[in-house]
Order: sequence, then structure tokens, then C-alpha cells
Amino acid sequence: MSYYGRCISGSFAPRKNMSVIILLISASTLVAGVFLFAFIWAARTGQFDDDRSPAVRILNDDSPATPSPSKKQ
Amino acid sequence: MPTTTLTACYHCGEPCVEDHVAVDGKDFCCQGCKAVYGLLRDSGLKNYYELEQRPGTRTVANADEARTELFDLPEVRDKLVEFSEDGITRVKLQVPQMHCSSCIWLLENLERLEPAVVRSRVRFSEKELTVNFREGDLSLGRLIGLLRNIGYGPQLTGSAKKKSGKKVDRMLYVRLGVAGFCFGNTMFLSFPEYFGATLENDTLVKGFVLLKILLALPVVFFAGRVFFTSAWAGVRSRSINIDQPIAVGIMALFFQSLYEVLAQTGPGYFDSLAGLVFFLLIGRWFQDYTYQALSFDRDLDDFLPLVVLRRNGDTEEYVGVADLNVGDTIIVRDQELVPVDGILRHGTGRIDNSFITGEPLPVRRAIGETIKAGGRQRGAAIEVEVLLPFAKSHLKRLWEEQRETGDERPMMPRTMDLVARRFIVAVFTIAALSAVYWWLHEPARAWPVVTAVLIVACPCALALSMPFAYGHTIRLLGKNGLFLRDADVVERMANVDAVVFDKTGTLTAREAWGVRFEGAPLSAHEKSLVRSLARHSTHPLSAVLYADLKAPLADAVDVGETPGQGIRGTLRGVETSLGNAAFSHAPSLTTIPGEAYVFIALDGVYRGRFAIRKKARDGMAESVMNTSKYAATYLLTGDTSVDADTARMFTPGNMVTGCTPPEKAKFVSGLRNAGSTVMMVGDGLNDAGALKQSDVGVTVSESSAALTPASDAIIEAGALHKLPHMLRLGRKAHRIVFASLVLSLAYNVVGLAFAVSGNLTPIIAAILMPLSSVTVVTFVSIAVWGAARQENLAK
Repeated sequence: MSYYGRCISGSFAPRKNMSVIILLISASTLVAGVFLFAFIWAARTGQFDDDRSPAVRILNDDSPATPSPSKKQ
Repeated sequence: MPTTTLTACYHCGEPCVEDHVAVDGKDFCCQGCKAVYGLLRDSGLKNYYELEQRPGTRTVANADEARTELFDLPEVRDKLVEFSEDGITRVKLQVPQMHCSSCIWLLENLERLEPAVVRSRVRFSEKELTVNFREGDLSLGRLIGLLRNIGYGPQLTGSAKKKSGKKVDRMLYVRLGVAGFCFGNTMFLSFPEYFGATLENDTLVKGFVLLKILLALPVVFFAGRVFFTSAWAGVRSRSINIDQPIAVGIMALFFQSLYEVLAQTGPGYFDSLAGLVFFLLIGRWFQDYTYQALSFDRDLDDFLPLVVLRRNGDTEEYVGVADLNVGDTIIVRDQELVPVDGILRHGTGRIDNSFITGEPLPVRRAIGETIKAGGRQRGAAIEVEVLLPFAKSHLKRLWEEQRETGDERPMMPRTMDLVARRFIVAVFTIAALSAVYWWLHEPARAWPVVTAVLIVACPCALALSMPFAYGHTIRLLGKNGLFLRDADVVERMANVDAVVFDKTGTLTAREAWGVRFEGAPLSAHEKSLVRSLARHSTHPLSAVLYADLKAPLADAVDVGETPGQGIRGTLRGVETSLGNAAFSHAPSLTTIPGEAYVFIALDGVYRGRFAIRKKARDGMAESVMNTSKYAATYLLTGDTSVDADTARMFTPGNMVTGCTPPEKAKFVSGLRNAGSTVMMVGDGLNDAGALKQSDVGVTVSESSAALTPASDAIIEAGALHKLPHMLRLGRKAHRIVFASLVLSLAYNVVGLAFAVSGNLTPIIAAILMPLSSVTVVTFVSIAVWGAARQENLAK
């Protein structure tokens, strides 16, 4: 009860145990770091070199393995 | 009076005028476009027209193109093919025509058009097409023929080298990503300062500070390294560039922030530091991104044919040009280039030298006369005995000549670097003055104030304004058919006050002729006779008449062509003659320079003559007149005379005829020495030297497969009439840059006011930097777009 009372009364009494924030920040930075490395890897292997073709490529519907349909007369 | 609105071709978008044809309820401007449409429709590839409107290009038959059979020769094929395994062959081709999503889609769906294609893949930024195909079912020649049929003929040079253009450096993306990552996270960690709260938990404060420092390290030493490298390069070559104040700003920010957090006197400017580097890298990226994937440099090999046909006893064989020996006999067919100096041994030589000298009409050569390398045969095949090996040929000498013409022009200093010079001087003066002031009044604040001045004086917005202004301009000009090598060209273009035009191939189109008949107008029957007879002649002027006269064809009997005189035959009972004045019993008439005449006689009686001349491109007259409002216009031509229509476009004193290539180059450098900034517009090898000497060299390109000399810019033939508008856009862009400089400086002044008075808190810096960058970039982008709309160049 006293926990809630302290918050409602609006005082900013410093809490002794804030170490959870350090944990949170470290964890989120780590996750963000993973994405950063994924980005770096993608850039270095040339995935961002061509930004026009992939957008159009998804519109292709047939898989290349199947023989193309017979031409219309 | 009914008004005719021009319909646009469904395939290429050009207006449908003469050869208008309609199919499936759609209009096409010519048979070529209609053929491509039909081909795609029958292969189930109509999606090509769904992705983008009017995605095609009008295919112009290009005489420079090598015949497709040549690509099946082992010598040629082996140069182009990457590898061949298990029946699948892979080849990489340059296809500069691809410009939109439809192009990509079609080129990656080639297997639907031709089943022997296993897979085709496009790299759009390099305009490169890689095709895997079963060579047993489809030869390389037929593949190239297929690509040409759909309007995507690959660009191949004599050396069949694959040119890879510059592309955005991958490391730049990495640096940008790292800078962005650190920027976002540092701002996040700076939230307490933004909201005015102070952290009271000491470990937390230390933790945040440690993280901020860790994030700042990659920003300064990795992402920001490009600025230090460039600044240092400037110092070593004793020149000032814009990266030097930037480097100073970065270091000031970093070390001041380190000092502040370690001495616990403040939170530091890490967020501004990361933001600064991030925004500046975006500017650099944009500059590289707008680069055009065309190749502006040329090798002599580019002008040579892939292989040459050599007579070897009774057989003919294909060899490379470099393998020809003195005394060999080579066969040069219609429209083919003569690759070496030689003596004509068989056939009638009609050599078109317009690319080399600018003379528009072919020169006649008889057996025993020498033919110089570089001309093109227009007429039936001839046999030439090799006189000199290629290394000693006229063409090679010409090439070396223009390579050595004058010194490389001195690079005009970029405006940005000029500004940087004044800027640095001003900043150091202000820093020194404020240091002195504070040292006298409150010594403790002297050093922080100096660093604050260095920080805020960092020309972030300034450094962004130019890449964005010129980047947008380059992109817009590219969409309108003018492709620039890099941003510096825009700057030089803005200062142009003299424009020099070449005549043949530039002002006049390569294959466009104006035909006029002098005499009593011909009846439809008479036109038919002339046209039918012209069809049997191999003379280039006959081809012009054949194309120009619209009349049904009749059969001809007893056709006899007397070389050098004319052709005679009997059509529908009428003896028809086409030829020179004597051949057609014509009286002597006045000749106008620049015109060629074909005299007609019917049943032995002179009937009239055709006056044929090269026609200037549509809209050129107006375009040149418009250009003359802003710049002095000149005409230089290798031709011996200028026809009246063209002469009207220029002031009489500004035209020079009979110009040899070195004379052209000297004329241009003469203008430059007199203080002008010169733009040269040309298309042939005879312009190469002048193009190099000019401040902005522009070559006119009729099709992407046609060859042009090296230059700073390439303009599509169809876009030449927009030249004055493009020049104006360049000038407006320059003015916009100036305005944005003023705007950036205003921010700097405001920031300096805070800095000098000792009030530059991290929050103010954090606000000022992004605010100035974003507003300047937005202003510049909108202003350039607005200027383009004014010039009708917005697309």
C-alpha cells in the first residue's frame, strides 16, 4: 500500500534500486545492435546496390523452373 | 477548321504523324513500335504496358550496329560470353535503354518471349543484363537480334569490353547505417536533458555517459572518417575545401563533449555530433545516387568494328582489325566502317566522312584511289587493299591528335570550396575575437566560447545545400534527355556564356533530308516513275528520293546505272533518267551551296530537278535563337558551306566553315582564353578535341547504340530543342544554391550569437543543427522543382 501511496503523492523521492533500467537499456541496445549488424552485412554483400529491380521482380508470377506456356496462335 | 491533336504512340509515346498505324484500338507511330507491341502481345507479355505508360523507345535503324551474324563467330562470341557449361551459356550485356519498371520486367521475363532463355537478370543501377540461355537452341547472334527487336539492343564496343560504372560505394551505406544508429540511440539517451530533468542516481548517469561515449566513437572514427580523409587531402595539396571546417567542427564537438562529461560540467553534445555526421553523409549519398549509369569516357577501340571481313584466296574470313597485314584485301559492305587506310581495288567507293570531317555528303572514290580509315561506305560492297596497319592509320593519328590537343583544362574551383575559404577565415576571426574578449572579462569562459564557436560554425547546412540542389538538377535534366557526368558540370553549365555548335549531325540529323522539286510539279504517275527507278540505284541520293516520294511502285526494265552519271530505265513505257545535269539533258542552273541535285528526264526531255539538303532538326532554329539570348552562339563546321536556313540562325561573323578538328579545338580554347565559359555541342570525332577544350562538352546522341566522342554530358538528339531551357535551369540552380547559402549563413549567425555570448547549451545545438539542415534541404528541393516547372522541364 505504501508503494502506491508514494507514487500518488507525487514525490520524486529517488528510488534506490534502478538497476533494472540499465538492464533494459543494455538489452534493447543489444537487440538494436543485432539489426545494425544485419544491415551492415546486407550492405556489404551488395543487397542495396540495386534498388529498382527488386520492386519489379516481385511482380513476376511464374517460377522459372516450369516451362513457359505454349504461345497463343 | 478542324484542329488535329497529335495522338501519342502507345508503345513509345512519340507523336503519331506520318506512319500512323492503329491496331487493337491502340495507336502507334510507326511499324517498328507496332511490331514490338504485336510480339509482346502474342507472347503474353502485355504487362509491359501495364507497369508504366508508353515504356518503349522508337527503334531507329542504326548503321553503327554490327550485324547479328557476327556474334555467332567464335572470335566475337568468346569475347562476350562469360562462361558456358552443361549447355547453358551466360552472357553479360550493357543495355543503357532500360529506364523504368516496365523495362526491368520485360528483360527479366525474356523466357516467355524465347523459351531457350533459362534466366535473365537485371542490375538496374549499372544497366546490365545477364542472360543464361541454351546456346544449342538459340545462338548469341539471335539473342542479340531478339533484344534489338524489342528495343533493347545491347551496347557493344569494338573491344567488347564490359564497362562498369561507378556506383554508390557500399561502405557509404554502412557508414550511413552506423551513423543513423548512433544518432537515434544517443538522442534517446539524451532524453533526460531534453526534458530538463536531472538524473540523481549516480550509477545511471555514469552508465548513460559511458554509452554515449561508446556510441560517439564509431561516429567519429568510422562514419566520419571520410571528412577527415578529404580534409587532410586538401591540407596536403595546400587547398581549401568544405570538408576542413566540417572536420574541425566534428573534433570540437567530440573533445568538448568528452571534457564536459568527464569533468562533470555538462551533458555534452554527443547527440549533435551524431546528427551532424548523419546528415552530412546523407548529403554525400544523394550526390552519388544521382550519378548516371552512362559511360562518358571513350577508347579508340570503341570506334572500331568487332571484326573485319578479309579475303583469303577464294575464301573470306573474319579477323580482328589489329590482325590485318599490309597488302591484305578486306571487304567493306554497305554502311560499314573502313577501319584502315587503303587503296580501293573493287567497287565504287562512296565514303561518308561526316563523323570525321563533318562533310555531310559522301565522297566518291574510284579504283586505285586511297581511302582513309574512319569513313563509312554508303553503297554496294567494296574491296580495299590495306595500305597501312591500323596503328599507323589516319584514324589513329586523329585520335592521338585530339588527345594531345592543348593541356587538360584547369578545373574550375567549385563554388563550395570558394565559400569554404571565406568561411574558415571568418570563423577563425570570430573565434579569435571572442577569445580575446572573454579572456579580458571572464577568462574561465574563454575556452568554452571558442569551442562553441567552432561547433556552431560547422557548415552542416551549407554542405548539404549543394549536393541536393545539383543532385535534383541532374536528375531532372536526365529525365529530359540531358545526362551529366557529375555535379561539377551543372556548376560550369550555369556560368556558360558562349555556346558553340557543330553542324553535321548536331544541328542537322544524320538521316534527315529536305527534298524540294524545281520545275512544274510532278504528277502522281511521274512520281511513281521516279521512285521506282530510284529503288534500283545504289546511290545514297536515290535512297533519299525513294524514301521521300510517296507513290506506288512500278516495274522497271532495261535498267542501267552509269556510275558517276546516273541511272536510266524504262518504266510503263517511259524512258526515265535520274542523274547529274548532263545525264538528264538539263540546262545549266544556279546551284546553292550545301545542296545536291538529282536531274530528271522523261523520254529524253529534261523535266526538272530535285534539290536535296540536310534538314536541320525540328525546333533547332528556335532553340539556337533562344540560346543566343543568354549566350553568344557560334557555328563551326567541317563542311565547306552553310545553307541559308542554318545561316539564319547565327550572326554572320560567328560562323566558320571548313574547320578541321584542330582548328575547332583552337577556336574553343581561343574563346576560353578571352574569358568566356564555353559549351561545345558536337557529335563526331572531328569535335572530340573541341569538346575536350570546352568547359562543358556535350555530345548529341541519336540512339544509345550510336557512338559519340568523350564528353561531360550527353544529350539525346530529340532533346536538343530544350537546350536553352536546360541552360536556364542550370543558372537557376546556381542561384538557388546561392540563396540556400544565405539561409545557411543566417543559421550560422544565429548560432554564433549564442556561442559568442556564452549561451550555447547542448539543447540549443541539438535543435539548431537538424533544424537548419532540414529547412535548407527542403527549401532547395522545392526551389529546384519550382524552377523546373517554370522551364517546363518538370516530369
